[in-house]
Amino acid sequence: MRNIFTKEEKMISKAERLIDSGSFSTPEDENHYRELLEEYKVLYQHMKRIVRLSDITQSKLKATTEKLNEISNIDALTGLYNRRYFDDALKKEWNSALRLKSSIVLIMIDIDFFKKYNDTYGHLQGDKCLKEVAEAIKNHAKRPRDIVVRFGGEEFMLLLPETKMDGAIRVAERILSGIENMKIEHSASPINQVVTVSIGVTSVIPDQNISVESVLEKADKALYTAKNDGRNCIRTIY
Amino acid sequence: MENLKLDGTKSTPEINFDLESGILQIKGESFPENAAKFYTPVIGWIKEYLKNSTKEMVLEFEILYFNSSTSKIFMTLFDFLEKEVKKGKKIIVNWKCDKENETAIEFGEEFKEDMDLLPFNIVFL
Repeated sequence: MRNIFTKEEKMISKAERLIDSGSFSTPEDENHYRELLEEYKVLYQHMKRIVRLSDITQSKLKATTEKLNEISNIDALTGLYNRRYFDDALKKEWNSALRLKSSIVLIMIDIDFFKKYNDTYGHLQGDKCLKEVAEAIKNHAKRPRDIVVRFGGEEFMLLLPETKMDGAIRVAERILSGIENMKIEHSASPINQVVTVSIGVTSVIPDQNISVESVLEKADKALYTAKNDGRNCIRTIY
Repeated sequence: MENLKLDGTKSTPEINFDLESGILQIKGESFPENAAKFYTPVIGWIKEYLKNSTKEMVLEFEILYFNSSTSKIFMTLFDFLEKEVKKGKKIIVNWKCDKENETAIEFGEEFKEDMDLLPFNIVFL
């Protein structure tokens, strides 16, 4: 098909051939037919234009929708996924793990004494710190299905599908030492002169008797324990 | 005849016609639920005006968004205006758009393409 209007164009050439063949019985008939053909040509032109304009509008609309979708899932400051995306992704991974009887790992990370950091260095520097920490975390979760999320203010979450606890702990250890080794100055931190994080890790094989929320609570509790145990450490809950 | 004045809504443009100046303005967004129903009185009004007036008529379009039904109406209107110009009426169409708005410019150019006699200007705001 040369274009989507092949049939219309065929109709026009057929009508033109009919006029050329001189097969009309009277000149009035021929003129009448010729006028109708001219009117049809105008309407055909209109239709082509409408389709063209609609195509332009639709593709613009599509691009805008895609862009909006992307924006609505991404945290503007860090470029990580946001909480909203995480909630959807967790549900999806949860259902998939239910079917496959595989395990899901949540790693929850919180920057130690971040309020003090902000108070000391200002919010702009605080944003910069968040970005650097986000980048470091992202670099340690590189499998295609790993999801790195800015969970809240200075809280981050890693969702690692089909991952076992020992693997998860290795990832958490790399993040813990990785961030400390970045040596972002934090003179107000009571435990260290550089920015550190606390990490809570939990792993679960979903079944019908466990709720998604309960796993989030476990990750939160593990993080809370890490905070209570002096920070800059990893705690796990199975 | 009286001046024509329709307030814009979320889906229909503001329409203003000032008899004194001969300028008809269509401004805003156009995706009425029933485009034929919305534009029929407007087109009727334009026809009536052209029947009775010898003054130059200027139609100014400043449309940010319009649907396919609206584009069909516009083409029918431009077609009619073209025929009126052929009959000797003085009519000008100004398609106003932002210099940055490539789509609006492209749309204006599409409409312009069909016009042989009707002066169709793309005017940057």
